[in-house]
This record gives sequence, structure tokens and C-alpha cells, in this order.
Amino acid sequence: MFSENSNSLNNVLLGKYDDVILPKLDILEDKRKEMLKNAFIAMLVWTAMCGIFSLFAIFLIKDYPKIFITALYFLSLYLLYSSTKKDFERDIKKELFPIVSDDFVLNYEIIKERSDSDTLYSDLYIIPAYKYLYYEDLFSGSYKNVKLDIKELKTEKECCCGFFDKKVFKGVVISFEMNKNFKGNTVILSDTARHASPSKNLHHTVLEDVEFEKKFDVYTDDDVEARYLITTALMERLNNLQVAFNTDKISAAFRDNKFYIALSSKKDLFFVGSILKNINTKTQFVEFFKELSSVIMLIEYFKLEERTGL
Amino acid sequence: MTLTTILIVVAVVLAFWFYGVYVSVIQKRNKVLEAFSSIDVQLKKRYDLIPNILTIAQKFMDHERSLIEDVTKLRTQVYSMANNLGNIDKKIELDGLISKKMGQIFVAMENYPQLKSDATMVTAMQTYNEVEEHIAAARRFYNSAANELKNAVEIFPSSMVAGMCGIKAVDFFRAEEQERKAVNAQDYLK
Repeated sequence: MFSENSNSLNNVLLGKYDDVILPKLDILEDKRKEMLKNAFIAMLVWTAMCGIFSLFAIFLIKDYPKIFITALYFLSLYLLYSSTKKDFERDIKKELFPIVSDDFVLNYEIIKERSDSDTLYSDLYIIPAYKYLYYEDLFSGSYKNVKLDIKELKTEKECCCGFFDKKVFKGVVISFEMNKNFKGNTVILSDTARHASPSKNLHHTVLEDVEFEKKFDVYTDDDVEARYLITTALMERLNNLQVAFNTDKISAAFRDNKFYIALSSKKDLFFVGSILKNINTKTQFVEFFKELSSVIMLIEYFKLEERTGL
Repeated sequence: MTLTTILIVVAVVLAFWFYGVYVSVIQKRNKVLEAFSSIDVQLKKRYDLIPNILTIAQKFMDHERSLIEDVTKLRTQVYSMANNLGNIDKKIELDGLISKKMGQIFVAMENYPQLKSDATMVTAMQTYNEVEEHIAAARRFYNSAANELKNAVEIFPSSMVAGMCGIKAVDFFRAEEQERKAVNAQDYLK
């Protein structure tokens, strides 16, 4: 799907491993062991505290809820492990970035993990309505002078009267600066029989590509602008993207001179550096850079770096 | 339930059905008019841009004066035409001629490096290309609307309603015969 340039971008990223990470591997490995040791000590201390509390509680509290307290204990251990693991993965990524090359700049940002107010993606209609938004990774930068943002995120909504949170979306949302000027709002969603518009300001429009129409519905507030943005070439490329990324769903939107693509994925993307494994191996970085370069190469795939564009 | 009541109910249902089909056909026709108008809007943007390009080109392109004058005359002709579906064939013809002449001007620009690198001309050409893409998009919209109207006019039962209301199908925008011919590279690489 991608040109040979994807290999060269991948090589630039892997070159970063040789230049920046390799010299720091011993330090990162020591850091990993230190974090594991601290987590282990914290686990022992917590276990001791819980044990002492339980001993007192068994004698002092009638009908002491053993199962509930045991479940809470194991849950707390899982949260401790999970938080340590996440901190370690973020530390590695902080070390890797920023990555700068002749036509490529990429930064890794640490942002607040959960956002209850960021409704951008549901306002774009590329993700169903949600209550909570959890950021897992956030990359930003530019490639061939095209600005981009890559966000791996997860969204949830409340269900069962707020007792549980149900996952709405998990995957990657990428936004690119468009090479075309436009004013309106156009959304591409997975095909449905009803063609129900996500907004009263948008109406369904039918395009020429039969294969595209079988997979997607287009909603827009300006029919001419929708066809200006969604050319026959773009339709063909979107058709192939689902297969290439092996994803369940793709949705896209054009708004405010930006092109947004949401790729849902069950797999945890951009994973690097397991806290339980030795960090002195290149293989885990290879997969990470391959995923990253595949996403960035969408700029070339959609020809966003060219004035003629899609 | 008497026969009269049944007949009245059937007549009312038929009337509602007829009204529904009538509204649908009228909406499709209006969509064609809207699409035609959107092509006109984009064409006007192009025609408004042409004088800017010609003014800049005139300063440099001494030997292409007749070409520049031809485009100016064609533009004036198109501007004076009324905007309705009856003129569509003539408009397509004139627009095709303007596109052809402008294409010749852009090709001739290759002989004037100073003009090609002029910042104002570069911006004007980029804007012109954007407008061309909008015109192509507007034509696609028009063809889509024309297709929907054609289906409504030709397929029963909406064809019956369209016939009663005097609504007819419209022609699609199509490429000129010259444009459909395969390009022979030998003609250019001499």
C-alpha cells in the first residue's frame, strides 16, 4: 500500500534507536529494575498492611466481608502494577522523542490521562457520543510540512444508571492539516441501511463509487464541497485502508481545514517497553516504529503533501 | 363498512401517495436546479479570476495577444447569457472553449520563466486550479442530481406523476469528443 518511502521513514525511526536509545539501554534497564523493585516493595508493604487490618477486622467486625476485601486487595495490586507499567512505557517514549529529520518532526506529549470535557471527536461525529475520554498516547509533529496529531485513545459512556462504564471506542484518531481550503463540515461513516444523519445540519449524499457507497455513508452540509474533498481517488484509498490496517471500522471527517481519521482497533497500538521483560532488545522497538511509520505515511497515501492533494 | 366508505378511504390513500411521489419528483427537479446553479457559481468565480490572470500575463506575453483577446471575448459572451437550463448546451460549449484557451495560455507560459515565477501569477494559478477542482465537483453533483431525476422520470410509478406535471429528464455533463480521444504522446514529444 505504501511506497518505498515508508521503509525509509521506518529506517529514520530505527536510526533513532541506534543513536539515542542504544546508548541509554543500560540506564533504562536499571530504571526498569528499580521500578520493579519499588513496586514489589510497595506490594509487600501493602500486603502486610492488609494482612494486619484483616487480622484485627476478623476479630472486631462481625460478618467481616472476606471475599469483598480479598477482591479489593487483588484489585489494588492490579492497579499498582498497571500504573507502574504505564509510567515505565511513558518514560521510554519520553526518552525516544522528539525525533527530528530532514522532512520529519515528531514529539511525544504527556497529557492528562482522562478528560471529561473534551468532546471534539463526538462533535466531529467520527466517534459515537461518550462521557469519558482516556488518552493513552499522543504524538504531534509534521512530515513533509504537513502537520499531524496521532492520538491513541479510548472512550466510554455510562450505562446501567451510571454504575458501569461501557467502552464506546478504542483505537487511533489521526488529524492532518489539509492541503485544500474548505469551510463546511463533511463526515464519512460506516454504511447503515437507514442513512440516519448524525446531525440535523448534515444531509446524506450519494457518491459515484459503488464499492465506497457499500462501505460508507457521506453526510455533508455542502454537496459541492463534499465532492471537492472526496474525490474518486480518496474513495478508492479509503476502501483499501480498512484492509491495510486490519481494522473493524474507519470513519473520517473534514472540518476547520483538517482531515480526521478514526481507526478502531482492539489491539494496544504503539506499545513499547514491557516492564516485565528485559529492555535490551530491538524487536519491541521495531514493531513500535513500524506502527508509527504506517500511520504517518498516510500523509503520502492521501497525497496531503501535494498541492493537487487527493 | 359501506362501499362508499371504502372507496373514499382508497381515494384518500391514493391522494396521499400521489402527493408523496409528486413532492419527491419536485424535490429531485429542484435539486437539479440547485446543482446547475452551483456550477454557475463556480464558473463565475473562474470567469472573475480570468481577468487577473490575463492582466498579469499581458505584461509578459507579447506574442500571445490574440489568444488573450479570444479568452476575453468568450468570457464576455458567457457573462451575457441568461442562467437557465435551456442555455446549458451553449454554456457547456463556451465553457469548453474558455478552458481550452486558458490551457493554451498556461502552456505558453512555459516560454516566459519570469511570468511563471511571478508570485502574483503563482497565487492566481493556484486559485484557478482550486476553482477548476470546485467546478469538477459541482459537475459531479449536477450529474448525481440529474441521475436521480432521470430515474424518477423513467421508472414507474413516479414516471406517471412526472409526465402529468411535465417534468423531463435533463442531460448529463459530458466530456467533449476531443477529450474522449486517447492522447498520443508522439504528438507532443517531437
